[in-house]
Amino acid sequence: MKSVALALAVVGVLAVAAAAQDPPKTFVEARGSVKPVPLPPGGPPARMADGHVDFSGVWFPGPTGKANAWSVVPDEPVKEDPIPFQPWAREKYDAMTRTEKELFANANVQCLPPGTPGTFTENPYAIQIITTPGLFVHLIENNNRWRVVHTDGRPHPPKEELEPLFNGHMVARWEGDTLVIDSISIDERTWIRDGWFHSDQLHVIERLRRPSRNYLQYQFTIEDPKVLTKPWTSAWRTYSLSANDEDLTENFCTNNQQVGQLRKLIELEKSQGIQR
Amino acid sequence: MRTMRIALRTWRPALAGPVFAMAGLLSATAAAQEQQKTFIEARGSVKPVPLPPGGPPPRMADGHVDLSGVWFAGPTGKANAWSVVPDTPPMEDPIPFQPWAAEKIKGMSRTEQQLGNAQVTCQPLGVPGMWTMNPYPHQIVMTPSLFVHLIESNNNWRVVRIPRQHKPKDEQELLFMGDTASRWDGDTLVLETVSLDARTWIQGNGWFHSDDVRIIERLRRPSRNYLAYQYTVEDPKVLTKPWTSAWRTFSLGSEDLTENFCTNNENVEQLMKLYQQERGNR
Repeated sequence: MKSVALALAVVGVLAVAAAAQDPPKTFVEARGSVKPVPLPPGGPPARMADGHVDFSGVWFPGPTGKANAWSVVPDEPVKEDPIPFQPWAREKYDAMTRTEKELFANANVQCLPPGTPGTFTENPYAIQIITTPGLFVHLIENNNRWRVVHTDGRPHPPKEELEPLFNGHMVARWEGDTLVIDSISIDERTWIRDGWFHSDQLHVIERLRRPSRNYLQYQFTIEDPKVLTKPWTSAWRTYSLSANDEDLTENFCTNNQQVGQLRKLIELEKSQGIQR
Repeated sequence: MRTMRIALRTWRPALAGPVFAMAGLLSATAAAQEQQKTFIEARGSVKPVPLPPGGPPPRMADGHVDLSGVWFAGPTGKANAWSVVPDTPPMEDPIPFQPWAAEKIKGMSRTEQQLGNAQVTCQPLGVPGMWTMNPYPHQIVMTPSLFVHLIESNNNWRVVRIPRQHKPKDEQELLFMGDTASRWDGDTLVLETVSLDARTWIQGNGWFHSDDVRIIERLRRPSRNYLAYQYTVEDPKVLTKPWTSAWRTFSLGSEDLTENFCTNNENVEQLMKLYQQERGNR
């Protein structure tokens, strides 16, 4: 249950969080991550018996190989194209208040499955990957979720056999040393990230590579002809191998009281006519 | 997604019945069983046909038995909940409850038992609940240094390093999955778990535990197609002596686990109403 505040950063709580940043610093300073020190590349990536790159490990977002949410050095914003929303979708997206985004569009707040690519994009915590020849296993801390993908290049089953799933129907293939995970049939209750909703036509293409032992890179492409005017591809995001050989920690969402508080906040906003 | 789950199980039925068998739904379940039979007959699992042993178990690079696979409860390598042949109950000693604990469990109504059941309330099943309160298939993924256990129920996982010692006592905190030590005892993987959150149950029958509970699980793969699971419960605050289960049989499937998230379980609300009604009638 670490840094819950980060994922649950709620409007009503932001001021408190800002005030709370000072005390935690001491703790983070003790961990040495106030000024992020990137891990060295660490040599070539591990490989499995079948010659493919082995992604196994506990991975932290960013370059330090550990949690560093309270770093005094702000993250450099990633350079990405604007999301090519269709006009109606842009309007809908822009009209959402911050509270609405937290309440309806954040799986971490609702304790709902983050889905694909939410397991990466809506997840500030460490992840664990286990790859064996033919299998990709992805474990996340948020509410103790997993997904498993066959990596043998098999196709999706025929459309009539598919049903909407939070993680969608996932298949994967190797393109050189890059693992490409292709997902369709994704439940519309999931979000791409931060209020970015999607249709039942969503097609997510995720790419994973391990350029060196200590680094994992992740990129995703969104195709959604009902919501976007054209496909959109993210920047490559950096993850780094746990520097202290840490395990994931147990994180079950069992009695989240934020939802009730957020609902009250929305009522308050409405009664006072507060817009985005 | 529990509603969807039951719908899914008309495709691939597992033991959903026993887990969700509530007073109010029993007759509906019985009726549904009749309808299911046709489909199941098509799958040939009305009379369970056990898998053959399948040869020796695979081994990992380090020589230890590889427990990896998708495992179904029972001997058929697939879901077979609606079999017309009743399961033979395993021969097990009675649970040696201390008198107060026996009384507490005896005093639970059927509704209270359901409301304390993690499958019904969408709470984590814990250890050994991932096995004992879970009729759905399991996936195990192993490497020489890791035991990865994935279950369908609410899409939960646990990971245990091999070998592993307990954390020092002052670093332990109560967890749904506890703090698990692991070692190989010949070809048997032994998992010892302490520091378990007292909100989990040992079995779905109301068998609660104290924070002093120690669970010793043993896993072996006697042949390629079979996994055997046994557990011991030590709980000096609740039991008069340790209790060890019979070996339970799981068999190798060729299907993948299916997605099962617990997102809008309405059973809890219905059960709460039933519970209030019962209390009013007492």
